[in-house]
Amino acid sequence: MPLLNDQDAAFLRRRFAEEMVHDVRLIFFAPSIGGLALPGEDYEMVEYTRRILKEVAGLSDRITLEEHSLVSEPELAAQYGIARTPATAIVGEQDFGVRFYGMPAGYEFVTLVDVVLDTSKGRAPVSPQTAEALAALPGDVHLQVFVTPT
Amino acid sequence: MRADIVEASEFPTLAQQYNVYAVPKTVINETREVTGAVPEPEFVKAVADAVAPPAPAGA
Repeated sequence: MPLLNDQDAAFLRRRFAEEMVHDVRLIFFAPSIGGLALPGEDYEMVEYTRRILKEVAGLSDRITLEEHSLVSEPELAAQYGIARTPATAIVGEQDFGVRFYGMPAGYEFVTLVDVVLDTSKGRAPVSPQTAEALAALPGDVHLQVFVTPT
Repeated sequence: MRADIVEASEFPTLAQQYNVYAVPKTVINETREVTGAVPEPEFVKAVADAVAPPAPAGA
């Protein structure tokens, strides 16, 4: 059974069709792959995350889901700066450095949709003043935004 | 710029490391933090301070 109801799926399909500019890759890293759970891994949570991403990817030809394993593909994970799972790199025409750790459920599903759209457009919805101030920063920035699904 | 969105309850060790008791909480370059939703200019200032800390008064 799909996680999204028909109405929500139709709404998102239309938004993606109308707003997306560039293709977006959801590069998902599970601890393991192929139904084999590792000790200490919350298998259900990983599976649920995979299902959410799969449904989102199914809503637009411009969105693809790539599934990887942190355990068997450590070099690829390192390339995306990913050291813990479940993790999803959201990559558009460029890699803007956005990573989602954990399950994009509840309100965070909206965040995922917004990140996909912003990544596709290649720009963040910030004011011109903010964009200018950030562009002028002399050093690198690492943001870690802690959230909960509700 | 890198932006990690971290589901706090799924990564309790990390959340604990940064003393996350309320969400959203944003940790900037390990040195600054912003709790809650703040106006955009305030957030930009926190980011700027994290990248280039303001000189101490009188310096």
